[in-house]
Amino acid sequence: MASGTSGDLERRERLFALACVAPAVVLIAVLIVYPVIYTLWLSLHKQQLFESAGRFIGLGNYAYFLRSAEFWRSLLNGVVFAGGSLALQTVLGVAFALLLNRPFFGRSIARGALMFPYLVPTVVAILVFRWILNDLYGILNAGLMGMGWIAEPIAWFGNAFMAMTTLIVINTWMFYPFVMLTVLARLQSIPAELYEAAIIDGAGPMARFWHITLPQISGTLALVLLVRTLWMFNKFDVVWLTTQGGPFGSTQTLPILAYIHTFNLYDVGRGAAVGMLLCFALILVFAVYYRSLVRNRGQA
Amino acid sequence: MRGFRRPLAALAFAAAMGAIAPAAAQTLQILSAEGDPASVKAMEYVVSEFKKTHPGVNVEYQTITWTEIGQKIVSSSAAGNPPDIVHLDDFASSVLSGQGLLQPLDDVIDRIGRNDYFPIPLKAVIFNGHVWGVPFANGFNLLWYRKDLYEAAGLKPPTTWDELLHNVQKLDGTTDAGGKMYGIALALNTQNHTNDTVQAFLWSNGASILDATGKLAIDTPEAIAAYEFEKKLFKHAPPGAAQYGNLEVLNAFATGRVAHSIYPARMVGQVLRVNPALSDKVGVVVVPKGPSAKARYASTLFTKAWGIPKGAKNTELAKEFLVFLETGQREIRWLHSVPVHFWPPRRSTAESDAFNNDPVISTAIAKAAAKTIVEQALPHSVPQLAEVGVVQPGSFKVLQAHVLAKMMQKIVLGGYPVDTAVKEAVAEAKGLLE
Amino acid sequence: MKSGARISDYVLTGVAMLVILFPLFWMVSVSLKSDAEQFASPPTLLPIAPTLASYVKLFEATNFVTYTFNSFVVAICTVALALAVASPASYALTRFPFLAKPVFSAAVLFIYMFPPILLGVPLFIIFARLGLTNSLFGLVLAHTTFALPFVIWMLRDFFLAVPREVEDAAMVDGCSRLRMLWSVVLPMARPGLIAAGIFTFILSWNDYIYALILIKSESTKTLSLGISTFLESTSIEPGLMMSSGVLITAPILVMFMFIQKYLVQGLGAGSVK
Repeated sequence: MASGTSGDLERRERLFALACVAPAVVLIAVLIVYPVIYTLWLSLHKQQLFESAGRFIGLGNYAYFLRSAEFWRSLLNGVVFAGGSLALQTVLGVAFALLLNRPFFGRSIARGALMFPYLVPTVVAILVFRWILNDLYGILNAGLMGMGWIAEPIAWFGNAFMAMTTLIVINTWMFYPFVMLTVLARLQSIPAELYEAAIIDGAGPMARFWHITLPQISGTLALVLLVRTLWMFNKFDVVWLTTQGGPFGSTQTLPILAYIHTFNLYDVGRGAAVGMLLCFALILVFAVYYRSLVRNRGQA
Repeated sequence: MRGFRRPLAALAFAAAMGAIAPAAAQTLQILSAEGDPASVKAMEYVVSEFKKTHPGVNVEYQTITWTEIGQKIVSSSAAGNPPDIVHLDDFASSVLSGQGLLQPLDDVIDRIGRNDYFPIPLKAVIFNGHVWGVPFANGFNLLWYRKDLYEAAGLKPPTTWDELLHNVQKLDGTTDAGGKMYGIALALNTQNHTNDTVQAFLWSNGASILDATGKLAIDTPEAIAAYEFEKKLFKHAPPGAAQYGNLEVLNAFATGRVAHSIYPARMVGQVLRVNPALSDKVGVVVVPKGPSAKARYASTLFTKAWGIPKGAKNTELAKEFLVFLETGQREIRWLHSVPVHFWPPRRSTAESDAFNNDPVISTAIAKAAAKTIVEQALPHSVPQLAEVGVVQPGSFKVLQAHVLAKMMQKIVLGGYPVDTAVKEAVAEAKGLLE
Repeated sequence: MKSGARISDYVLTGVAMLVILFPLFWMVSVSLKSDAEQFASPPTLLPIAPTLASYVKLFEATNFVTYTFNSFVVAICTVALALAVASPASYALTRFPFLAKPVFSAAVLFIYMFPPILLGVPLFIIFARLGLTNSLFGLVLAHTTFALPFVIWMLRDFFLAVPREVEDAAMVDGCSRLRMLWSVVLPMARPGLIAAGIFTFILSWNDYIYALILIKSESTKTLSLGISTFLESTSIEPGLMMSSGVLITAPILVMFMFIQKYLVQGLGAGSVK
């Protein structure tokens, strides 16, 4: 704190600090904490969407899902979807960042252009991709057939594996720029001397990447990965607008399961229970990540 | 930044407040899934006519997707702020009225003329002895086929499953200007049209989701035969079937890439719009009969109706508007906004010159569809929840959770043995019904 | 960095841009085709007879203009609210140790874990009681649930990067904390404010699920919700989908090109160091 504090100044400082955080705390309490508690309460009830009060059934809704194969499959699907998307996003994001960090004419235009997918509204992206991937009029199948690579159109959502893979690719297209941008920003702050010294020592490009670049960006990557994990695991719109969880539930993740129970089956209690279970799963992920993050980040 | 941020934000906030300002007291709010631009235009016409006799009244026509409309009705009722008029699909009349969310509309039906309504469609909106919806159109699921290809190959319109399969096989793999032709397009994604399609095959073999006692019946031999048959048809479907819903089935046929498809009469408008050359090359029949002794012709009836939620602010005015909308030139304009697919719910309208003298209704494809509707579909039509003669709201949950759609996906795409897929579907359905 | 440009840089960048930007090119191309050509098989890469018919129809037959206005209002209000509330909070958290900043930062991130699908339903029920459903203001509040934690978290490192000496000097000059925050700290953290504001704008602009849950009428629909109707609409028209996609995306891309440097700079300076 500023030097030479009298008790009075100290108190004014505290008041100022509290005034600064108060609006945020109030908004978070009203818009996030209270709804979460309310959801918890709902999840303990048998309640239809149009009923104003339900019947208390304790952990009944949770018991229902923990016994249901559908729940565990949705959880697993979520892990595959989030894991696959994260891996692809990271590889693509880092690769593009390295490329765009090199000096060449038109670099800033390329940077902007490769950010575009992140700015395209999800609904628009899905509209376009569904049209591109259509079996009869889609440009992708037509192109592949035109080049003689395939004889029959490929069913991009034709089985569990294809549907999940296609979904992950679409999702990666939309969200790799976030990784690219943050890594690029970090790359720019790596001192050039590090590389110069390495070159003098005779290190090749691969060695420079492994020994200088990667350690330097690892902190950034860890944080980006955490935020991305949370977001990908919670992703609703991409999956909903593309496959509605199909075929036969092979791309159904927990947010979809929650939505179906709440809005298709009008069972708010069960929907809330799925939401809470999703939340518990994320807390677990977060706890693991955060511990390692705090350790790595050190002083901050 | 500091210079412009604040005034801009203030302006935006003011605009937001303006946009949410409460509407005038005499505003009728209509929530509908009929968002076709032509329908919106027709409704604007009706509203402007209505305003001539009701100068102080404002009518707000709001459209939303099929998937969302049920949720919106329920949630706005829960919020104590329902629209004055809502668009009810086949489920809504029984399910929503069963939950006490609708007002009975017997008086409106009587004012329009109860005996003038076709009997089966009217049955779809009657539940517990009351009318809950004012039907504004009937739709029918039909089997569309390529007449020109049939003639070239010497085929006859199918009346049994065997004939259908034979014709599908025969035309699959032929080529024309557009490229390879597929045998049939059927819905298989996780949306409503897949339910409709599976149900059509169930019925045509005498099966149903629930039996007359309300017991789950999706694993009877007749039902399993229907799944087996659909599986055979899918061997001749375009490869992307997993994504096939309304959009894909409609377009695959309308653009001439498949020889058959099962779709409502909205097909007429789509063919005329994207591929008018096909107009006189299309034939249409009801879904053929299966082999079982109980087999019957049955066409899915989509009853589209207007309902008035409990708690609506302007009930009397809403009723008046409904009578106005559903009679005279207003009804004709509305029905013509989606020609043929909006089939009149009343006999006198269906037979009237005003309805039949329309450029679209007079095209070859529309005439073919109208003939099939009047002669075959209407007499054999079945409302989805009244598949066994009485309304079984339980099948709503099975349909809404897409149990049958997921089961068919397992059979067709997942390589599951039929009995395994059926067993899993039974388990899921039981969990929903308990 | 050190060596000059190489041919491979151009080749790789060119290939990357071709692949990544193809969907956007395709969107533009289809939007300019006639009804019949949209369904041509095989598809034509460029429209044979380009037409603006889809765009005309979009304006004549749909409420596209209303959706656009609503999306702008909601996004701008969300940005304004989030920045106004989050900036002082984030600042205080970096300056006053008694607020136990690691705990609070963790809590903010923690808050991220409540997905819209979890918050949507209770928010809907609460808003229904307050008469905030189906209103743009309600949607702004809903978007604040993701915008606020995000901005607090993002600004934190920008404020940390403001040298303490600058503040101390200002304090010695007799500046009040409030004035100093306003006229010294915030201007120095400007790249962060801009970056956070833009991210928030995009998040709000792109939101689909909250609009899906909270909004019902044509007059309050936002773009994502409004055009999702085209996806499932009973009269399916690729031309309408694509032309609306072009018009929604274009202003964002243009805006982005102008402020791009702030974004890279901003993220470089703080956030995720």
